[in-house]
Amino acid sequence: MILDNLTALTIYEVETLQDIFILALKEQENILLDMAKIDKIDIVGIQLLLSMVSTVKASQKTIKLINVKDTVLQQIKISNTQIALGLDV
Amino acid sequence: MELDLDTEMNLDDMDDDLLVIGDSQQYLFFILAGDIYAIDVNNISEMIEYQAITKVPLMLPYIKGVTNVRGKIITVLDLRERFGLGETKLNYKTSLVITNNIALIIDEVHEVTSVEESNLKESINFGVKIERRFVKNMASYNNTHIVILDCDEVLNIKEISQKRASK
Amino acid sequence: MTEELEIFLEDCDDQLQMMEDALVDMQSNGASESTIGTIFRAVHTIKGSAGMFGFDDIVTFAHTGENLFDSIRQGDVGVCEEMISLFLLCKDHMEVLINLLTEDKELSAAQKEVGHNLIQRLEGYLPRAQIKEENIEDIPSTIVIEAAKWHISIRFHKDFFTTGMSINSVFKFFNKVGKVLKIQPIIYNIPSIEDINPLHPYIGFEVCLLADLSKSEVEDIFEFIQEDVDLYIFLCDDSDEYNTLVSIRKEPELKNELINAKFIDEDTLIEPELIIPTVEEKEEIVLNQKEEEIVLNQKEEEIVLNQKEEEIVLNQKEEEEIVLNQKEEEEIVLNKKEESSEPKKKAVSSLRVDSSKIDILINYMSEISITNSRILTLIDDEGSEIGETVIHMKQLLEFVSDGIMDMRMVKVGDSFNKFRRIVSDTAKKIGKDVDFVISGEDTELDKTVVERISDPLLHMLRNSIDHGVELPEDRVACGKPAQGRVDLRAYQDSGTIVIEIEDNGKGLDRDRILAKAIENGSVKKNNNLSDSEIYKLIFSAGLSTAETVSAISGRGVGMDVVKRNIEDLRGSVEIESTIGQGSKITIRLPLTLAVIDGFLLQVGDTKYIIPLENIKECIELTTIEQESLNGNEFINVRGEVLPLLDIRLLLGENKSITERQNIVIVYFGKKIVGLLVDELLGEHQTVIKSLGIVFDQLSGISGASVLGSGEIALIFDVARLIELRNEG
Repeated sequence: MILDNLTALTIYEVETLQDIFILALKEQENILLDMAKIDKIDIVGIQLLLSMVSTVKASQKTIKLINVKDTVLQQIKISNTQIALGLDV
Repeated sequence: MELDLDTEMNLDDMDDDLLVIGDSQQYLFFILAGDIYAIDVNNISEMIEYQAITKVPLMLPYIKGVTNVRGKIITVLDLRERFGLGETKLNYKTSLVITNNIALIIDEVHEVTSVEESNLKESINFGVKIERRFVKNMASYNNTHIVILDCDEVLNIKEISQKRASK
Repeated sequence: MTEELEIFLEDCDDQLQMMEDALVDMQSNGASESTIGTIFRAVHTIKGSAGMFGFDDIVTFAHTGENLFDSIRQGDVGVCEEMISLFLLCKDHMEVLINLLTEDKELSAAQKEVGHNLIQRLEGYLPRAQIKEENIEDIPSTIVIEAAKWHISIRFHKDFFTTGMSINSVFKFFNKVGKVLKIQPIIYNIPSIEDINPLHPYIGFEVCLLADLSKSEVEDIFEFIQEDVDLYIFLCDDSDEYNTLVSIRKEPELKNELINAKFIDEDTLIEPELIIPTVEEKEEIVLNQKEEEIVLNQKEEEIVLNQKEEEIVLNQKEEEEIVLNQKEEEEIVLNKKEESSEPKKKAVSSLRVDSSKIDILINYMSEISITNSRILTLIDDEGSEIGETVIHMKQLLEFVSDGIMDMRMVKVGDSFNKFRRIVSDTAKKIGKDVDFVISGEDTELDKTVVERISDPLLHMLRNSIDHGVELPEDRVACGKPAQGRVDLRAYQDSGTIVIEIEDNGKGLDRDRILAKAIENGSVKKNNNLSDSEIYKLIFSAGLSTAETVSAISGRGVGMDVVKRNIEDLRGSVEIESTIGQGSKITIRLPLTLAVIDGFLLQVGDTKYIIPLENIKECIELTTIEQESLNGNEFINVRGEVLPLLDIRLLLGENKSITERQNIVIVYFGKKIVGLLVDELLGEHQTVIKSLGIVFDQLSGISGASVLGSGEIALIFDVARLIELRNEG
């Protein structure tokens, strides 16, 4: 799944993204989240990703975040959530 | 406000006692339509004499309205009517047992005492007059078996907050 | 501007003023230990708070100044005449930097040059060694030597995300004041993707910070977000504190989390059951707490005293000004010297109080008022001396309670200005050009109402931009200016607050809304709904007319939630729209949620209160008139047709037995209805209390109130009653 409409994952996008995620959860077995176009993330976005990752895991499916940009990864690392998000560091 | 704090403190003290006792739990035994029932005291914040109630319209018949307990507004539910045992007839022994901001009308307070865990059993006796879903378990008490009420079910908000069907 | 930012700016103003005063004092009286100390503290405070907000320009600049003053304080560098004038220039530059923030502007090249120049001049005074050291390591070396290991446990309150403060900037700041040894995100409270409200915080953090700071200094880091976070801070060495942390957080998973993240060994954490203190210990704790409280209270008293002194000084100044003004009037001679040497200062000093404390006061006030009116009934002789005293008391109590109510009132401006960024971001994202105009920022409203109306407003604003305002090219094609306009207005209107959102976009498409509503079955095919009834349909669930679901709105949820939120606040919402010209949403809200002036009346066995602000007049009906009424749903009042609502019928009460019935004419916005009731009992000021969750579905009744007699009266929700009448 590519988040092509979005370039940021912040408080302004989380409501939309929640819908997209719920849909993806229904339709896909193994979810690949292509973050190539995301340049910005905040704690609200990180929290939503954490929710998605744990929901997917609980339903015996898999999820992986790929092509995470450095700027985004840096933000994620500040809150030390990279491990919980399954990002190889 | 002051008094509220006091009652909370008292419940805390009770907790400590219970820890010491270990395997037993305190219950309020009370009379309803001629039979004895029990409620876990942990569910109860206060017991008071019956007092004036302000009727709230359009609610189910057993939701009698609201009453003022030291400035707090408490919902009043007629337990007999909730169990389909007819409306409570008021007399000087009628009491209100307050649990979770809802006051239950009961006929008479019997006593508060502890019951050993070994005296509790899950199976429900034949001859219980109320619906099974309201029964949490049974306790042996003075050689009889008493129903311990499931407060969560008795006070099931989804159910008791419904509006009366219009005539 | 956020509240936090405003506090920061207010604080900076104070600090800069102190700095200037101290510098001026230095110029005339020479440098003293206290003036140097004052300036050092001011620079340090500004640097600290600016760091919190990530205002790096200010931090860098203040940092150099702070270093120089530190050297002066330690006697390494002496103060000279030029240095003081240099500092005054620096102070001016800081003011410039801060003002730029207020206006949200960037630093110009010339201003950058000035700053750079000043830093160089400042560094010229610094001992050589220090400059070098500074270049290598940003953290002053002293920190590492005496550093303490602090454990900081952070949870967030519901609104934290929407305040716009960033926890990441706090974490970044941690690394400026010390070294973060560990950050453990606490994620087990985050609900699944279906259940999460993405705007509410569920995440938490456990942090271990190595820094040369006292506990209160660590707490200060959170100064600007303290109202929205729940902190527990202690020294990492204290294993007892970990047990306390586990017990206060009430999170069963926390213990393992702390062990797994190696904050502590398994052995050190005791099973929660075993740490319940014995009775004696408990008493001790209580005693200790009391002692602490006493100390705190003393401190608070001191603060209050200081403030009083300040206020007195301010008042004197004001009085002097008044005297001056009088003189001006009398003599028409201006004492120019006095005017120029005393710049007029706005005397606004504020005190931050937790709003729950005010709620407690309001509750007690209502109890006191009730008790007081009970005394009056007991005396039964208003003319006696004691009766008069009680009546006087009643008036005084009303003053006090008005005063307390007033504390809850805040200007809507802060909340409105928050929307600016979101509006411009939203518009940009979908390629629209919108002029967002706010008016009535000074309108005051209950803080709780302001907080709870914020999300619905945001949603409606997004809707206006997304659905209302057209794309620039479409606008030009219709002969409109390319830039659209969205207005957000607030004003008071007869005891209610009105908030309007108006756009000059394409307006609502009446036919499409109707088609959509018929399609999803909420409206029958053959209906004769009026335009305004059709517009109101956009507030029903599952009705979105946007043809494509965009990233902003059009998901069909939202507008119904908006309407419910507004109704929960005892408010109403209405829409007007003209095709091609735009739409206007009008929201009406009560001034406050806590107290109403009401009119007491009786229907059946129950007493009810109608908010006075909704009452137009009361009419008494004789038996004969009642008979002529006989089931009619309208009555003719002085030639005008008034729709009637029989409260007895609505509430399922038996038919009236009283000889006289009354009609209370109520209105909400433009709608008007006559309520048929039994008995009128008079005016009554009352504190609104919730009826409890059992009655959540009961519409037409918004709460309850305890009367002087201890009886309870139910409060009518007039907006809802009028709707119920119109629905039939």
